[in-house]
Parts: sequence; structure tokens; C-alpha cells
Amino acid sequence: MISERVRHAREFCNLTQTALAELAGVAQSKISDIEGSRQPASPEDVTRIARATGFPVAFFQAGPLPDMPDGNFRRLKRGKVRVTRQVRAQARQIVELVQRAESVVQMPPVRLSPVRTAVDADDIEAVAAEFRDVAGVGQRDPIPNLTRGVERAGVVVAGLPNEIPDHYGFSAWPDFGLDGRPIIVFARDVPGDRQRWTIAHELGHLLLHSPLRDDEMTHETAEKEASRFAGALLLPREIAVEAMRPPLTLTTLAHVKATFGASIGTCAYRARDLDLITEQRFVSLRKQMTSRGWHRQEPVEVPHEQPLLIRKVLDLVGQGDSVSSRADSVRLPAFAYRALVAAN
Amino acid sequence: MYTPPADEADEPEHIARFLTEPIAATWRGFDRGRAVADEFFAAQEDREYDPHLWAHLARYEAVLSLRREHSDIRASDRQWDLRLPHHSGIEIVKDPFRIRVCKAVGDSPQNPGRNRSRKEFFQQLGFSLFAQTGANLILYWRVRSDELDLGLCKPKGLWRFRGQPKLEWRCPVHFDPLAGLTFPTADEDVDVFRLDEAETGETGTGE
Repeated sequence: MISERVRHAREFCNLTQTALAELAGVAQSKISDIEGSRQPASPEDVTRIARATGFPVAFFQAGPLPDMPDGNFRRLKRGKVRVTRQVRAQARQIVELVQRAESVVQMPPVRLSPVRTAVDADDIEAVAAEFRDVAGVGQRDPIPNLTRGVERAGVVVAGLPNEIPDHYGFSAWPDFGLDGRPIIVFARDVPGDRQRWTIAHELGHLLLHSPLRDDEMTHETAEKEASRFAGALLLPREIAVEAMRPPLTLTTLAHVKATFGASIGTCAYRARDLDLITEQRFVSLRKQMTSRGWHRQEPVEVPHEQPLLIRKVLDLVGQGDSVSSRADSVRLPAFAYRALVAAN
Repeated sequence: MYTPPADEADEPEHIARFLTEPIAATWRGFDRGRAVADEFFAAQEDREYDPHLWAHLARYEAVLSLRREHSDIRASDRQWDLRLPHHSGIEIVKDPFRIRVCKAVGDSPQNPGRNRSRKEFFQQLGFSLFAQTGANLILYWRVRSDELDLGLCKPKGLWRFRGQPKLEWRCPVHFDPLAGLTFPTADEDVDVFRLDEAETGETGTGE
């Protein structure tokens, strides 16, 4: 158990074994052996590793870590594997916090119904429509706060505590089929419309790509399906057809963004997916966006959404008057606790 | 109603502000128009790009768009009127101004050509020399670096093709179609979970 937690703490802090060994003042081979359960960690080793990572000693002495499947990542191709591991470790830490809260209070029930069979475009539209019902949003209405709708369906949504280069989001469903609670984490340092897209996209993975799914699919297919779901959720077909009548211009797309909180780029993709514009028009719109610099920074502000469930969990589990005592009680390094509170 | 500014030097910008609504409608019309024209040529792989046809298509869609916008305004709220004089393109009237919309040649409005009505318009013949307000104006449009630009000017006579335009004044029209656009998010149902008041679960039972 300690071995698993040492690796977890190291990945949480984005450290290599060598870097952790240097910080802890032990040999790299020792870290490797501890993580590989080839050598037990002495109390002194634990104290040194705890000091190096900032985690309280109690963290290493706690029971096994919660289940955490590989999950789904939204990241750029150049995203580093080590950062990916860090995102996963941070999500796992949040899951542990939530599980501790759940042992004390009742949390909103998980109300997601993952699909079991292969889906086509129409099925994905239907799954998105079904989720709108679950989230209590009308089929023709903009979703004023997607984060809140997803939380209402029992999913934990959390902003990552630190800047995560080239990664936008991650989702997983720990203990699937065993009353597990799904989690979505997202990068904070992106505009609000991208945050909403990431959450919608990851929700698509949770609903469309659970272990129940009985068919094989490639990574590309899964990503396309999740993206299609995100478009369908933010901009349902019926209203997309009405709002994006040809001739479609960037000005029209900007107004659609202001109404539905989906980025201009998303709206353009949605228009293409629904055959509202030709491929040539889509390419032309993308070129116009690039020439205006909108591929980096779009106009029309979409404010960031603030997760609520994780905030309440932190309030509930964190005990004490000072940051360090609250961090200790949630078994997090003080810097990570402070960053997690600030991010949520 | 138009009231001239106290300082004559401010007049072009003052007039442009007075004409904000029809200018915005024209901008939106040509924004749609250029999209239609672009799409037309993108779909015709075997047709060579023709700038005259492109401009014609853009103008045609702009007229349709202006008509639609104009008819969508409740009659009692209409502050401007749309006219389509023969061979003279688009004319917008907001008293005491008449504005003709035309494509720019380079950075300037086109010369009036041989059309008599257009010549009279450029020469301000409909207005008394002693009138305090009111004028014929030209709203010229062009697409530069993929941006739709509009300019407003007051002609004061005729000039030859590619000659120096005879204008009393001209001013660029700054129109930001996205100004003030924002998505109104809502931090709704703040107390939806009420974890603090939720039923306490059993701890340590392993169930």
C-alpha cells in the first residue's frame, strides 16, 4: 500500500524517481524498489518522502488508493506522458476526497445511463437529449451552467489545481458498476467556452465509452463520438439548424456563441457535422478565424464556471483553522490543498 | 431628428453616429453577401473567379438582407427607409440624409459614371445651397485582408474614372458587429446539494 502511495505522491507532484530521490536524500534505486514493492519503506524513508513531496505522513499510512481506471484524456499530441500521469494522480486524489465525504454524508445519486451498443450520429443526438432531461435543461434552451448540470447528475467536476501544459481534461469512472462516482477534471487556464467544451466532451466519453459498450472502437472513433456528443449537448440539432441558417458568417457564429456558450470553432464544426455548410465553406470559415487570430483567442466572452460539489467536499472533509491543518486533514500537501481550493 | 453639432469639424463623425442603425444593417447585409459570393465560387470548381460577379452576388444578398431587416422593424419604430432606384443600387433614407451604397475602387468611392440620376446625386442637386442640414452621402464598401470595411463620404461633384474623387469629407465607419456580445452564464442552484444538511451516512460499517 505504501508503495502505491509513494508512486502516487511522486506522480501527483510530477517528479521523476531521480528527482524525488534527490529531494528526499535517498538513492533512486531505493525509490524504484519501494514503488515496485521489492523493498519495504522504513518509517524514516516515509518521513523523508513525505517531506520531499509535501504530503503528510498519514497519507502514506492510509489504506489502499481508490480505484482509478485509465480514463479518457483530452490533450494535445505533444502532451507529455508524465503530465498525463500527474493529471490522473490528481483526479485520483480528488476521488479519494469524495469517497471520504461519502462515508459521512449522502451525495447526489449518479444519474448517467451509459450506452451498451455501437452508436451512430442519430443515437448520439438522442443520448445528448436524454442528458439534457437529466440535467433539467430544456431541449431548446442554452445550458446556462454546464458544470452544475453535470454535477446534478452525480458527476464530480473539478478544476485541476495547477497549470497543466497541453492537457485540457480527463474523465474516468472509478468502481464502475459498483456504485462508483464518475469524475471529470479540467484545466483552469483556458477560456470559459473551452472549459464547457471539455466538460461536455468528457461527459460524452463517460456516457458513450463505458465498460458496458460491447463493440471495439479505435481511439479516433471514440474521440469523434465524444466531440459529436459535446456539439449535440451544447447546440441541439433542431436549434442549430434554426440558428445557423446559410449564408453562415463568423458574425452569425459569434452570435450563436453568445447565445449557447459554445465556441465559434465548435459552432463551425457543428454546422459541418449537420451538413448546414459545405466542406469548402467550413474550410473558408476556419481560414477566416485563423487570419483574425481567433484560433488562439476567440471574441465573445464565456465566463468560467465554478464547480460546487468539490468545493463542498473540501469544506466538509477539511478540518482545522489553518490551511496546513486542513491540508493535513484531507491528506494533501498544503500547496496542493491551497491550489485546489483556489481552482474550485 | 438630426441636429448638427456645434463644431462643424465634428460633423462627419456626428453624421456617422446618427446613421448607426442603417450602417449596421448594411454591414450585416454585405457580411452575408460576401459569404454567399464566396460560397458560390467555392462550389464552382470549373468557374474562374470573377470579381465583378463576386461583387454582384454580394450586393444581391445584401439587398435581400436589408429588405428583410427593414421589414422586420415595426413600422412605428422605423427610423430609416430602403429604396432601390433603377440602375443606382441601394439607397437608404434617414432624414435629412440620402445614402447610396456602392463598392469602393481602391480606397475611394466609385465615380458616378454616365447615369444622370447618379450624377445629380453626386452633385447634391436635390439640396438647396443654403440648407443647414441634409445631404446626399455615399457609403462605400470593400473587403480588405478578409475584413469588410465601410466608409462614409459626402460627394461635391463629378470626377472621371480613376480620377481624384471630389468629396467634401470622408470618414471611415467603425462598426464592431460583436460589441457587447457575451454569454450570460448563471451560477444556478447554489444550494442544490446541501451536503451539510444531508442525511448522515453510516461510517465504518463496511456497507
